[in-house]
Amino acid sequence: MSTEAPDVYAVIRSGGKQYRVSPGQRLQLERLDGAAGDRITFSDVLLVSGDGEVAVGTPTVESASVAGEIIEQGRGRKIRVFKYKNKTRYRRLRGHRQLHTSVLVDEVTLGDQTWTAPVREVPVEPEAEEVVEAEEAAEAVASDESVDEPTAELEDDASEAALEESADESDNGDDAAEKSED
Amino acid sequence: MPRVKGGPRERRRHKKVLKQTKGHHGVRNRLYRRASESRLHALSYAYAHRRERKGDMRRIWIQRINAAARLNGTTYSRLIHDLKLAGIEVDRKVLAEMAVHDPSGFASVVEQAQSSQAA
Repeated sequence: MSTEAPDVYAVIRSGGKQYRVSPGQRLQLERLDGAAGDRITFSDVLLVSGDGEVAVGTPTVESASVAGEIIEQGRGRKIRVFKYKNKTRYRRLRGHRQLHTSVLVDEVTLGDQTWTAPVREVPVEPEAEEVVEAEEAAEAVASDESVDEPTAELEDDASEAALEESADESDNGDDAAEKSED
Repeated sequence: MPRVKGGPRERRRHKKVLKQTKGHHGVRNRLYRRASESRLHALSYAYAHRRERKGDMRRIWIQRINAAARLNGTTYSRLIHDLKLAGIEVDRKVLAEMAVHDPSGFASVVEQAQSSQAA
C-alpha cells in the first residue's frame, strides 16, 4: 500500500459510529450537544496508535482520551426521501437534512503521553475573518506538517464522506475513494 | 363537457418535473408523461439504494479485512471470532481502513486478538 497512516491516530466512538482521528483533523460527527467553540472530550477510545505502538482496547483504552473543539453545528445537504406504494396512491416526498457537528481534533492522550496538533497559524484579524477561512488555514498547515502525503488525508476525507449516509454527493466521493484505494 | 387545460400552472408543473429528469435516457428527459414516471422510479431507487449502500460498504470492508487477515496468516472468520473473544470492539469500517493505510497497525490488532485467546 502506498499511503501511510498518520503517525498518531486514535479510534473513537461517537453517534454509534467509529472514527479514526488524528490531531489536527476535522471531523464530522452526528450531532452532539454544545455550541461552536466549546471544548469536547471523547473518552470512548477503542484504539490508540502512536510512535509505532498500538494500544488496543478491550473494548476501550481506559487511560486514553481525545479532545477537540466544536467548529460548527451544521446540517448536511438535503436529500429527498420518497416513499411510494403502487396501486394505493400512496406517495410521500419529504426533505431531510441530517444534523451534524464538526469537530477539530487537537489532542490525543494515552496515559501520561499527549500528542497535540501542529501549531495553527493565527489569522491576522481574527475578529473580521470568517471562521471558515481560519479553518482552511489550519488545514493547510496541518496537511503540510503532519502528513507527508496529502493524498492520504484527502482520501480519508472522501471515504468518510461516503459513510455519511445523508450526504448526496457521497456516491461520487465513494467511487473515487474506492478507485484510488484499489 | 369541454376539456379544460391547465394553463400556466400546468406549464410550471411540467417544467419542474422535466428539470428533475435531466440526464435521463432518451425520451424520459423530454416528454412529461415519460419523465414523470421516470422521476418516481428515480426517487424510489434513491431511497432504496441509500439503504443498500450500508450493506455494500460492509461487504467491501469484509473483503479488505479478509485479504489483510490472510496476509497475517489467519482468515476473516477466525479474526472476527478472536476479536470477539478478546473483547475488541473496533468495527469493520475502521479495521478495513487500518488494513489499507496502516498494515502494521492492523497486524498488531490481529496479534493482540490471538494472544488473548491463547492465554
